[in-house]
Amino acid sequence: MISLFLNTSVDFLSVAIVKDDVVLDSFYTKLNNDLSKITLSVIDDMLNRLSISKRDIDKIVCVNGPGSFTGLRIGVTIAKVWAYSLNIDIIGVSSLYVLATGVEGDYIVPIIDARRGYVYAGIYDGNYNVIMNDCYISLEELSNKVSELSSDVVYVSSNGFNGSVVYSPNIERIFKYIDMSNVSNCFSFVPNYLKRVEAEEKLNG
Amino acid sequence: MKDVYILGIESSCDETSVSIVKNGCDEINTVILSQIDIHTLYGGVVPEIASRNHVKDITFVIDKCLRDSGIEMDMIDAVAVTYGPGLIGSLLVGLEAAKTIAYVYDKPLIPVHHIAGHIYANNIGHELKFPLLSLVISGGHTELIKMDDHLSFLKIGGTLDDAVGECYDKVARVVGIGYPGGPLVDKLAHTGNVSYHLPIPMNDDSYNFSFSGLKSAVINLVHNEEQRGNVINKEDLCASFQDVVVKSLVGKTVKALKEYNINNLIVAGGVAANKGIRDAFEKESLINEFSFSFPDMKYCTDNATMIAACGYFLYKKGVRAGLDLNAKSSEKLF
Repeated sequence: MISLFLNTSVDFLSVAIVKDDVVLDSFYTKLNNDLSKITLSVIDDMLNRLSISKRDIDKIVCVNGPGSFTGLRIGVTIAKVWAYSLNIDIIGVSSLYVLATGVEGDYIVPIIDARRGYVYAGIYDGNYNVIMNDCYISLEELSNKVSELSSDVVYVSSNGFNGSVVYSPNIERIFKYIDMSNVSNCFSFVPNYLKRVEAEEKLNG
Repeated sequence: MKDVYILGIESSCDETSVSIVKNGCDEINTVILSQIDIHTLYGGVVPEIASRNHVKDITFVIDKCLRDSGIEMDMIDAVAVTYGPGLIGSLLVGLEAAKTIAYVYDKPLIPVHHIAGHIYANNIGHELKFPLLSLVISGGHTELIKMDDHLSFLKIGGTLDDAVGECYDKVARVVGIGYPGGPLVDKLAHTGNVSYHLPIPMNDDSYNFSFSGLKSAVINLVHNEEQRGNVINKEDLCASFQDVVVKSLVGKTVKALKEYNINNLIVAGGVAANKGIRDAFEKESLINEFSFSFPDMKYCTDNATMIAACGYFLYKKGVRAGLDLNAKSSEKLF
């Protein structure tokens, strides 16, 4: 079983090829608006190095949010069309879960800056189980929730936002604790924005 | 000669479209998923909502197009995609989809300029004859383009400010008849009389157009009438506005045909669906003896058929893009 892992949700690109539980190769880079230009090339280079055909991918594990709307759509579109072409499944993964797996601790609070004092955040325990579901939340409210926790908390983000630890990928850990039951197909898979479009909010209240 | 099948993908604004075209001329099948009902609620296209719908629907549209066409991906020679200009978030969905399907199936990827696509909507069903003059009129463009051969685009004039379609939308808003403005103004214009005086913009020797002054003139006229307590006759105002637009477009276009000694005119872009403009050019073609063509109504609005048609000629010319092809929100054709 060969899985393609794809994370385009925040301000970096993270790609890996995983065979069963073994990470064959992985790639991570910070981005400057060049996500669309490099993503498929990075995957193609990796498959070539590993002598694996793009048609031998059995499953796509794709981070689908929350995060950068444009980033999410680039990753999700690639996953959808690839899965369509090969008739394979997509496993959707939370961007916050992935950030959490970059660190260890009793409680882990992954955060993504959503501007104007708001973040996308979740709370995970030491085994990366969800304690608080991923949500769009003010920093103030998040800090109230965190203060209710009984032991130490590690904040993690892609860029050290608000004094948090800077994420570095641990692909083994992502796959070790992943919820593989979250299966989508090429038609049903969509980004999990966690935030409505402003115009929709104004129209529908 | 072997037939060439191009799969086209278009997502530059609020239509998700996929099409298969044979030899740049024969439409095999096209699927267009329009979001117009959604955006009408907001009085215009909301880019983020458009992008969200594109990503939700893209595989469904690809699948439906292929399934109903009876063509297998193995028979497709190349994948053509709109890379710009357009809404960046919208463009990116079609672009990533095209790159991915071309990559997984080992097909060449052909980058198509959206406006070149609109021009090639005129090649579907009947082939272009050169030299020709193309008047491109849409929500983002108003341009006169001379073509001596396929894919040779020489701009001889264009709008210096607003595009004609943009002007229609704004006038519709001021007059209070809603969105999308073009078709509604066109419809009302046919029931009204030219009774309001509006100036013909850029009434000069150049091949350029200007519509922001006309837009302001309509806005001022409406405000002045309101201040005087007069009720605007919407039908008459639409007729008067459309009359000026038609005179401006027809005047410059016919002048260019004569001065460049060209006998073929094609009109392209969303505003090419406007009946008032179509009728005026038809009349003019009889008087001045030039042949002219409009795309079929279904190819006037954004569609992937025109992208696949244009993609065929780029394919023949050897134009290819790599996996690093990026979307460009503003991109010149020339």
